[in-house]
Amino acid sequence: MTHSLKLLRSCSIQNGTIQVDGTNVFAGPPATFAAFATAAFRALGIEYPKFHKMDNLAKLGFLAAEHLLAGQDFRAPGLAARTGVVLANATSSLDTDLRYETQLRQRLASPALFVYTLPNIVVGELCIRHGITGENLLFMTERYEPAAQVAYVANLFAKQRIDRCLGGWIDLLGQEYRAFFYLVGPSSEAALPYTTANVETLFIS
Amino acid sequence: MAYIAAHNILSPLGATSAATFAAVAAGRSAVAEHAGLLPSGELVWAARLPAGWAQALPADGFSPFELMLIASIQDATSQVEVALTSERTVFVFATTKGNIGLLDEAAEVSPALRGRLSLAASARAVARYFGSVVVPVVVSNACISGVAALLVAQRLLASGQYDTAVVAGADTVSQFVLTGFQAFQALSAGPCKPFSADRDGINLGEAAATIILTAAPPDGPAVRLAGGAISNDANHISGPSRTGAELAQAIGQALAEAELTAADVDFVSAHGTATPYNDAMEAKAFALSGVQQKPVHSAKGALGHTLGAAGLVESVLSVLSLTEGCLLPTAGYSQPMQLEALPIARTAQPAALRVGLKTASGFGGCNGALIFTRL
Repeated sequence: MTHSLKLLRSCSIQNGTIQVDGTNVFAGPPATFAAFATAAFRALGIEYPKFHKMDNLAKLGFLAAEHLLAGQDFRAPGLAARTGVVLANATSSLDTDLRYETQLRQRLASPALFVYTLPNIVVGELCIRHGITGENLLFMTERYEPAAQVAYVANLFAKQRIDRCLGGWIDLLGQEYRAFFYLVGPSSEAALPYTTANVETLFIS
Repeated sequence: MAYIAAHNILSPLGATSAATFAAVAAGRSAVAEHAGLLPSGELVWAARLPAGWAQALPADGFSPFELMLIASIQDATSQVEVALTSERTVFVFATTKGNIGLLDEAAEVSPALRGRLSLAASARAVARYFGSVVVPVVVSNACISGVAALLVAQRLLASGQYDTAVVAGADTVSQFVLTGFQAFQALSAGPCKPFSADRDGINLGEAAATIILTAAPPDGPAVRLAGGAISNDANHISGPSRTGAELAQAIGQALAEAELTAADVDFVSAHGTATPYNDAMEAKAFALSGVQQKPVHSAKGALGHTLGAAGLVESVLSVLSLTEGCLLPTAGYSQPMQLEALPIARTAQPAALRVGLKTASGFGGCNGALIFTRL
């Protein structure tokens, strides 16, 4: 690896808006997350029926990754296995857990919902959509800690296990949701260096 | 490269690694028929810790899940000097659902109960109990969590940030999870039959396990975590890959990091959940990786599927296989699979073992592989 790690792109979803590299690309009317997600999905203009089966956390991640990775294809044999996904989350799948618990108490437990009672399913959905077969991990933290994530991801690059990584934060519980994804990789282009400070700046902006 | 300095398994077959290993080697199983676990009242086969197992522990408001972690870590850390309160020691936890069992008995889900369901909060409480001053790392990657946590810990040590990692995992048998697997029709009608032609599903189990990893070699002979890798099938969120290629990819990468080849592997501790799909996929992955003729073992018939703990429990069993020179039998094994039959022992076999491969796969399409070597 001859080029230093750069933040190639970022996508942030919160409060009914989607931003890519700091620019608003979609704003929904004030609404529930479900309504926002449906509108944002329609605005993408893509065919992906599986979207409607996802739980809210997976939909949030799907939308963020769709914007983040627009135009990128990781399916090439060399790239698929060398693209990583390293995300962090606080509330796990609690949003879906509570829905499943309600179903369970009504003796209506459904496998289609149960599968989403694991927080890493959103990672799986992203891997399926974008053909990513490399290292994929979900870390549980009480709040987003860029320092730990940057150190871990940078180490993966240093050990030459990956050539690209989707990193960031994703959390959803009820109507409180936030996705912050970034794509990092070695690049000679002028772009923000991959540092804790730069990730923090992007996250809070 | 990281060294295994100490370990523990807390299971229905024993409160120590040695006791659990001896029981598994003797062909015993903790899987039993239970009434009253499913809300419907149906009987279900599962492996549960005995009632009152935690009696001797300080309760202090800890949940059963947290007590399992505490008991396991306590035993592991009693075997070796660990600077638990040092900034150079990190706790790494593996679990899929943490305190989810608390939902089973709750009349309603209060904000306080919601707070208790936080995996990171449980981790913080347990790490703090041992005096840790470092924010614990928590890995939740479905059934590969235990394997993933070990790999994460190995990487953290290799980065130079820490000297010691206390890696612990646990999951409980709960109505929440049982009903879910039942809805998937993934539960076996009896004791599960890993890698068998007539396998029909899983048994859930509960256990905790701990492995203490160090960057520096301990005094005396040691087992190393020599390599590992994680991959994703990128195929389906609840069914495994049809080809096993992505698990094979992880196996290959783990071997490459350990600077070994498939020929060097002496045994495989498989995921072997006894579902029709998983065991077929794993057999394909083993064939693609070139380890299909190596002795294979699944612990799921002896201990049930312990979810987030499985990768850790079964890694400890693999470490003991290496140090005891003993290939473990697979409880519940009946008839070989018709395609891709694997060499499965029905009784323990003494053997000189130097290299063990541990594999795991989970919902979300994730796969993990670890290589353990005995110096």
